[in-house]
Amino acid sequence: MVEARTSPPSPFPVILQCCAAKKHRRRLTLRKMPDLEQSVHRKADTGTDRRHATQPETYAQIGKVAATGWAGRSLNTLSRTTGRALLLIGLIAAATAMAAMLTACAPTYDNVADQMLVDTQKQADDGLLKLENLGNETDSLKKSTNAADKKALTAAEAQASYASNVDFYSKLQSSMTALDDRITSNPDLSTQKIAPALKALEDNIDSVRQTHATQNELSPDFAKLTRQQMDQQFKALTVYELTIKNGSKPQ
Amino acid sequence: MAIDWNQVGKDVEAAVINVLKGSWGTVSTAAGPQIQAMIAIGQSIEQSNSQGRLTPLEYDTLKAMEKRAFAGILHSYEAVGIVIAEQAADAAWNVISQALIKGAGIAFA
Repeated sequence: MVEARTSPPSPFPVILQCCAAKKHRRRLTLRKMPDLEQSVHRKADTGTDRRHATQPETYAQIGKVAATGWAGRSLNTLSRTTGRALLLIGLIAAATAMAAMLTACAPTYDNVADQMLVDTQKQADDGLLKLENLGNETDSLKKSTNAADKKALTAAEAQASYASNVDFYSKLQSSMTALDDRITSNPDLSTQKIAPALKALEDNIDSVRQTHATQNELSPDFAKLTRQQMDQQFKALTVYELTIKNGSKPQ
Repeated sequence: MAIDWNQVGKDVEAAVINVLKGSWGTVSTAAGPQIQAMIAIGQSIEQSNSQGRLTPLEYDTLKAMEKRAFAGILHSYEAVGIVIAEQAADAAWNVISQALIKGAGIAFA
């Protein structure tokens, strides 16, 4: 679009005004070529779009302007092309990453949760093994009529009582709560599948606690069987952690 | 009468498969060892009872723990809902319970 000119020649070459965007870019490119612009603008007063000019010298001027503006146009084209390429690369990378996430859906291995699992199992094992040993000791001492053994039996029964082991159960349940929170906080669908197994273990610990509270003691066989049974449950959770560690998705 | 725990193991697996049906193939890797653990507990209960070293409350607690653990593992699989998991656990322990009652004479089993 050629603007009517009544004032001195504009620094913007009329012949390159093919659209608003191109016009702006060419302003930046050709601002420093006043000699060429002057010759072009001699024809601009007619209001004719210079792209359609018929005078040979005008075409020559157009060619000169085009040639000298080639570097600027190329730079603009290059920057535009580069920007588009970078945007396309970024979109492809994002789409690829999203596709990988959606198809794999494997949770991220959490070494802290893994260590918490190990520590909690050891805590349960240590406590139940202590109760098993105390149970065996009291059973053995009960068979003795020795006064010293009777005194030792009283002490052993006191150690095996529920009151003496409340701390064990409380700390173990606290560890299980922390473990549950850590494992299930992993933002992956598969972590919700492990929640029932975790809850079953927590409920079983509570069952042992209630039995101990009711009887005020645990038979050594019960303590042993409970430890074996809980080890199976911890093992299932360990398999889950190791599956994730190996980069696989738990079933 | 001595309990044939090998046969009990097969019966337990058959009872679980009967409940899980097509889902057994999915869960068998994790459920298999848990079934073996239940059999081992059953054997230990038989031995402990013969020596009078297990109270009825402790037996009930062990039974509940075993069923809960088994159901928890089954329910961890998307293919098995909580109801089916509990039914499978009940079916498994019923086989063990019957074996303890008939084979070891444990009244509270």
